[in-house]
Amino acid sequence: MILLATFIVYLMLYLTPGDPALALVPPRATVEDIQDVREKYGFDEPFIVQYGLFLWRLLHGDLGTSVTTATLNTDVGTIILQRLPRTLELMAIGLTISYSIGIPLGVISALRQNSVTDRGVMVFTLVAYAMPSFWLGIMLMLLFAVKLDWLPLGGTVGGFASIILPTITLGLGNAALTTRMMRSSMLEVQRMDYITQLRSRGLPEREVIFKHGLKNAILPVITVIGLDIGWFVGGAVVVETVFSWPGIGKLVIDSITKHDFPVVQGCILVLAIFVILGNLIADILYAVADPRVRLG
Amino acid sequence: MTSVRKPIIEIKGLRTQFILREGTVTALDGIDLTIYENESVGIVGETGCGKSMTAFSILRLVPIPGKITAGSIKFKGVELTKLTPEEMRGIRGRLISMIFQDPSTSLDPVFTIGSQLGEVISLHQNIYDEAALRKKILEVLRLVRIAAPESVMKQYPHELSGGMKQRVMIALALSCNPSLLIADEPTTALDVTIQAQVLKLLKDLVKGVGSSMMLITHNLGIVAETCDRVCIMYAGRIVEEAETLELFGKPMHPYTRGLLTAFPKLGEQKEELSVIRGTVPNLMNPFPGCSFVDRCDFATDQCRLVRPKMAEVAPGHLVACHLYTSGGEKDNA
Amino acid sequence: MILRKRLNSLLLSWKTAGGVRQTIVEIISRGSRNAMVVIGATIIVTMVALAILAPVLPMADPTPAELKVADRLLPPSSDHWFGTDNIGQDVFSRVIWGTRVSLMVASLAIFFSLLLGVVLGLTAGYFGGAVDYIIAGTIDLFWTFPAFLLALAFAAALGPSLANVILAISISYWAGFGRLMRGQALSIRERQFVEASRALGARNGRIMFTHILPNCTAPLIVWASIGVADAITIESSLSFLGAGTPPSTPSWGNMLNLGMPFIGEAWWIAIFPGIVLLITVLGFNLLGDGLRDVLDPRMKGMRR
Repeated sequence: MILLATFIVYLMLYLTPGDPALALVPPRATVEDIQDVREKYGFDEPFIVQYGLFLWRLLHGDLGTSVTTATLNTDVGTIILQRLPRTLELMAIGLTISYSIGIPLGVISALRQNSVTDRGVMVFTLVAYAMPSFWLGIMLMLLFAVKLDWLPLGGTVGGFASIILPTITLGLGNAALTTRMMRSSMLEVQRMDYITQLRSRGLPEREVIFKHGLKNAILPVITVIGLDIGWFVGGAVVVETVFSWPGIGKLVIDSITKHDFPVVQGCILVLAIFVILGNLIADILYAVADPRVRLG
Repeated sequence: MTSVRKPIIEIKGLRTQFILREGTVTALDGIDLTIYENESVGIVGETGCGKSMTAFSILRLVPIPGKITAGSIKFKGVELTKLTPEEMRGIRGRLISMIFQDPSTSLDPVFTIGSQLGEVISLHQNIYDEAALRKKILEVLRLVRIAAPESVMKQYPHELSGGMKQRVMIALALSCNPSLLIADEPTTALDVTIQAQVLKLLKDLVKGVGSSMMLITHNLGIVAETCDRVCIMYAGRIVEEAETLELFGKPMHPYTRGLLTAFPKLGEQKEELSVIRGTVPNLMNPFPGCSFVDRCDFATDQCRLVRPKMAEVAPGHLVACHLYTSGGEKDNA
Repeated sequence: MILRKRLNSLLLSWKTAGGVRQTIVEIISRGSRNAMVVIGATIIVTMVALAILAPVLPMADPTPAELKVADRLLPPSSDHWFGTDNIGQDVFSRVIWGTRVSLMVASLAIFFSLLLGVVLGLTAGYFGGAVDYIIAGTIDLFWTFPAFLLALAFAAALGPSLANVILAISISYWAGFGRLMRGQALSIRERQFVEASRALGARNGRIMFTHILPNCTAPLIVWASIGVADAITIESSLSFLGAGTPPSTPSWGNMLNLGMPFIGEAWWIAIFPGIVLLITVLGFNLLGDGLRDVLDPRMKGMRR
């Protein structure tokens, strides 16, 4: 999986129009510098060789050096590591928000199917899902930071307060998705034979629904945690840009704008690894939760 | 045969209906049924005739949008239809329990056998001590003749075969010595080879525990094996009721006759399988007369207009058919 | 010549295929009674109409050659319904023109996605074996990877331009269709009419397209509708980040990007495009969801 990601990343570099060596040198390089780079990275060699060299460098932790004037020649790896925790924070809290809203809301909605509450929740999820995160972010920013001036505009300056808007923006979209999945899963479980069986054994309704029903209903939601995390990584990029949050997302965008290719490459690689790791964790979680999957 | 036996369940005039957008479906249209202690009664009929619905009505587990719209169900004298949900819950699993048709879908797939059994046992018998509970679970598993109870306890439903799962269901149902066990098509989903084993187990256990059993099935062969009395149901009504031997020996209602002849018997030479012509009537439009009228070879005009009442035409043998009774009851349709 | 004949017979069998016609009839009759479908469809039709009519609508030129300083940052008024932006362009007309861009990009992107996904998915599901293994593996790879990130990566590498955006989204989104078609192919190929067809000597391609495909019309339409919604979101997100449509072309994402620094003083630059964007995406989502409800229960197992 990871190998494939590296392959794609390198393919990108290879395909980028123009002389790749130029992408990797600072703006004021001399002709010799460019030739040096060309030799070092083997741009005159066939693709396989280039790719091999790339992998080799990766294994040594060498992601290249930045070419933007501000961070000239700083190791890309270091830059990324600096910003990594910020993004992790954002995603972790965002995920928490998303599930703490999504799951209960989905359950409540299912238990009160077709009631006013249910309809309301459904409308909410539709709208929340349709809203692109950057728009939501801007709206929230407008409302809370500009008009009401309750919360800071962006960046990490404000301490705890400044993390509120970005994480809500990030988490809300997925909360909507989770709510819907949870709701439909819960509804399906309720129709299962074993639920009626459990009732016929005399178990209290509360236990039937929450101990048995919920445990079964949550399985499909866990299945998609991997996909959710992928969604979150994408969302993080957008949210960080809107709120000037100093994480990897913003780094990617800034570097693209500044044509700082090594950084871009490194970031995308890291993001891809995030996604893959996320999927792995999700798979493990699911195996833990569903006994039917465990035995290979 | 008619010594003073205490009735466990007395159902009178039970009507269960489903109120849908398109109309009202009458699943049960005035059922009268009594089950006494220590007896096994078979409820026989084709799919959709209301057999399972009778069971659900007794336990008040009729799925929405259905409800019991008329009649009374007395369990040892207590009127079940008037109980609160809490009280009803106290009866379920402990005094009346039920086995469903398909064992694969009747067990919660994410809990072990042991925990599901433990749940029921501790709930009804107030055993919360782990060691005592474990002992009881093993006891119950051995009772249903499961070979390695210790390992089965730790297993999940999907790891067991159909036959074993059904034994677990039986264990669950009998673990608290209920007075009435309702078995809804307990062997239909099982392999033929396993069916006999499970049936025997059921029969032995029920006798052993001293419960009564209501066995729901469409298979007359099973009834012959296990039941003391039989009720034949058709389109939400009971049409004939008698002791097993009597019913098989002297079937009266045309439907019963049809069912029995449709079953090819061992040693019989037949050219064609006989079939009851026609199909089950639509339960949405209540019919004033006998519900079997369109498929009956002996139908008269009276059959179309007047619903026949159940009447005793021989000791312990009741039939609802104008052929045997003079005048039925004008149904208030 | 033979190709034309083949194409004709293909089209003919499509038109008469009970599946397609029946599905469309069902959609129209039952859909028109479903609130979500009606609202969604209305929104979509409105948007499409606006997009098509943009050149002839009586409104200001979105990118006027002459820009007067005095026109900058004007709040909404009867002259400029949505106000003007920081270089004096009329926001309202830019929003309408943006509709053209977004709708076009999204539809083309989904169209190509569909093409790719359907062909690959059908092939994988129908042929099975090694072919399936390879294609299914690829589908899984693309499916688990978030479409947005993939699109971002491609768009960043290729540079901002409309064609690139369409390409990027197509490459990122096809897996969904692929999965769908593969599943359908796997289940339908076991059915008897397929066997009968084969017994009559029909060639594989024909079976795939005339038998299996028409049966999948319903889920395809639902997915396509939701897909367009997703594509619009992706495109506008990309444009917002500067990796999508080039800055000169009016697109909702672009406008939000430009409008963000002015959010305090000139909120109208960002808000209006945002609202229109939201409504459009909502429209497609509503249609898709509504149609799915209408055509249920054949849609079990869809992600949303």
